[in-house]
Amino acid sequence: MEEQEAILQCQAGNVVALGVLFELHHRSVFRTSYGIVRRHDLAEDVTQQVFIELFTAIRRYDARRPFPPWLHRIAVHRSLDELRRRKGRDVPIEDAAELPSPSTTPEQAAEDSELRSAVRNALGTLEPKHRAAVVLRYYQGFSEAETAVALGCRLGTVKSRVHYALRRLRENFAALSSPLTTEMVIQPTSHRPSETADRMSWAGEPKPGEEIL
Amino acid sequence: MREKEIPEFNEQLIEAALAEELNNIMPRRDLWPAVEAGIQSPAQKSPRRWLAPALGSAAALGVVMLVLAVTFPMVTRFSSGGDASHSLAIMASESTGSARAVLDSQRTPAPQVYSSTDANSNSQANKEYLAFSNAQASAGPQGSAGPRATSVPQAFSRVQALSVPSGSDDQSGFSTGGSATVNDAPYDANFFKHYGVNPFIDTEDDRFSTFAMDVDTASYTVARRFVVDGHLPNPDSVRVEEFINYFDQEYEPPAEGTFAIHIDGAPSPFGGEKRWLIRVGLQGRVIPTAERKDASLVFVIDVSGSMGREGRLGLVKKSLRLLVDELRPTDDVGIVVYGSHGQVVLEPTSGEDKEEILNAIFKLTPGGSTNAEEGLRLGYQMANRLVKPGRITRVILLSDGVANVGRTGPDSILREVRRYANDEITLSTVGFGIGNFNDVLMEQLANDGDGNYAYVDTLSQARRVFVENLTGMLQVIAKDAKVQVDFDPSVVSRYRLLGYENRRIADRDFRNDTVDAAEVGAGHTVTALYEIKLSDDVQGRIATVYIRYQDPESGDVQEISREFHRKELTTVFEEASPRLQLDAAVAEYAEILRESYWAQDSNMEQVIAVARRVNNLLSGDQDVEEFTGLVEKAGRIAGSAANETPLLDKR
Repeated sequence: MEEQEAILQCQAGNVVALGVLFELHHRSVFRTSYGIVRRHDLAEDVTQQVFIELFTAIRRYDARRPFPPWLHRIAVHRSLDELRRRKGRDVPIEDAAELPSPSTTPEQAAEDSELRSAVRNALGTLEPKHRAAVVLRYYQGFSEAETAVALGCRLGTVKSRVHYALRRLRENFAALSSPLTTEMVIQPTSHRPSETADRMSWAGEPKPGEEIL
Repeated sequence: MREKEIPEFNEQLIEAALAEELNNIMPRRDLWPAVEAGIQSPAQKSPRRWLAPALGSAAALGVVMLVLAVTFPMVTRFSSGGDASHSLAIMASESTGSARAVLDSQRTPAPQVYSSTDANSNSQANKEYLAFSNAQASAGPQGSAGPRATSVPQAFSRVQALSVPSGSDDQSGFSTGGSATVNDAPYDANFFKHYGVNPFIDTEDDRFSTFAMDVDTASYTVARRFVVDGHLPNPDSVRVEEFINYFDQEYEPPAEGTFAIHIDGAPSPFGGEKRWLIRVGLQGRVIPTAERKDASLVFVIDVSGSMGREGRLGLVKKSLRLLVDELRPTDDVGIVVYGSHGQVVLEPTSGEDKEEILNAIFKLTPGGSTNAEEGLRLGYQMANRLVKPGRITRVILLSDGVANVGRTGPDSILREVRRYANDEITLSTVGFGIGNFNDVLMEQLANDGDGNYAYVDTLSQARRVFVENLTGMLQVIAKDAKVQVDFDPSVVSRYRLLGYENRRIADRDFRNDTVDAAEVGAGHTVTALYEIKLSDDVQGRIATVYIRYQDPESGDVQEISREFHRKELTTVFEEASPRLQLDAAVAEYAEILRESYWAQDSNMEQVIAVARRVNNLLSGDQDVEEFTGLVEKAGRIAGSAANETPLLDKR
């Protein structure tokens, strides 16, 4: 069944079709919501809510528009709701950098650069709605327009949120990362672009033969 | 201020950090049941219940058919015998299970790479090799899907950071993300493990090479599936010995006893420097079909949702029909299935009632999560009641290897499998499907279950496994079979065993009969290829091959041996046995596919040249013809890939 057909059937109340959509999208939805709530169990709950809600909400979906941004809008809203509900109430948000996901092996953890964990820590300091913008833009790969749909706000708001988030990230990141790391990351003006590229590859590029999971 | 100078940088870093964090996480529990339960709707039906009557009546008509039929391009392209149509509801209701299997199997230990003590070498080549293999190993604990991604911008690009749609060739995936799987992998998560690549060993350091026999061929068929689909196989999926063992070797069966040892050798056409190729072949006693022991077989069939993909279950059914046709009235068959739970669908039934057995098989419908543990446990319980002296009792697991076992990990299953194997209830595994296929677990189960592991990609492969090799699969002629090759250091300076990396046995354990090795079935052949370097002009014995095994009937341990001398070498490769020439090509093909350090100076063109010539020498052998076609295709794939990523050119 094509996704399009699954959506049509789902709109007609077909549970099997919902199952198809669930299968296609639940991991992605889970990751968006995890990116926002940063707790595994909450993200699982949110994902379930999203698909339960989807079954009725999908009747309002306009099939001519891209589906993922629309779907992720539910995920974003439920994730933010979840955080609001819990605010000041219980456990602190899981620090993803300190709690490697179960599939992370020691090797990966060792290779996990300080840099990236600093970025992740910095992400944790963002306000949830800014974090949502960052996750949609930089993880889900949504365009600004799609991100606007998913956040349920205007394009201009997306731009300002992303801009603000980036600025906050830079500040937090600089504060969180060690002086050494900062030194290696931030390039003096005099460096030529090629050198910058080299440095960048030091930061993010895997070694030859390394697989990116 | 400074940020302005590197505005691009931070964005990429964020992408990388997010990808690193989020790509690896999955829900740990099955989220679907709560979703299903939570739906408030007039059409409130469970998809499984909704589908079952439809499938049931279709099956009654003798047609395996579906309500919502889809054609997966992947299936139609290569699986001539497979079901091109299948139910989608299946995928719908299931496969969160697979997520947990993903997590479980990703916890498998880090790959083993030979340490310098293993390599035992002071040579520069071996040092370079060690650096090479460690770099490979650090790539990850085991392969993810498909060819390695080497280009970073691509790997971290936003599109590909999207999660994987199920059914990777299903073009209906994400509209924003295209249908790409993660990092352009051909299929979503498969699980393979990198066991390292044997190094050259100086005979001065270690003159003995010891390993357990391996008669499996699954790795070759898995790779065939990749190549036919237009991808290079995951390097970690390539086990050289299983490639070689796929092919007929035309060894003479033993006139008496259990094994005949064949040894021959010729200059290697690969490797540049002066290397010789030695083929050590072991041919097991052949038992005519009529003389096979009666068997009690318990099929444990995975009918979880993932088996609905690509018509896997359809192929299982057709394969089993072939097998059932081979059964004798004195054989028994029972069937257990598992989805979310294990369930007995056929109590032990005589091979005479083929109708009844086939009916039970054809009624199977996929759905549910993957409780392999419960299925296997039920299967073993049934098998336990069938154990009788003089009969073969075998559990046969048919699955895509996704063992979402819930509360316990694979370790607990494996423990139980070993326990039953000690009680003469053995386990064979037959793999189906690719995309979420767990090669590591399937192989390990069969290893520990003292059975064998086959991978079925097409109906003709099913015929090979279940019809032509049935006796060999069922009737064991040797238990804990080990091989030790003793090289004479005065004649041989260095040697390297091609393959058998995960079958290594410590030299000192060759005569330790408590060490678990391999079971060999009737008529099976085992071939080990060595690359060796000879000392100049020293004549004499190259090696003595010892094999040691336990006779399954008497329980006696037996050992036989054979010497091989330098004068027995063929001095021109083209004059060697065509089968040896074929093995050379097959091994090099495997070595290139697994990106072996020792094959980095070779290329597919050279393999193709040898393969074509051998194909002429062995005209009529369809396996060889097919092999030649596969090498050519792999060469083309590698060629086109080389334009984008330096897949075969490591340096």
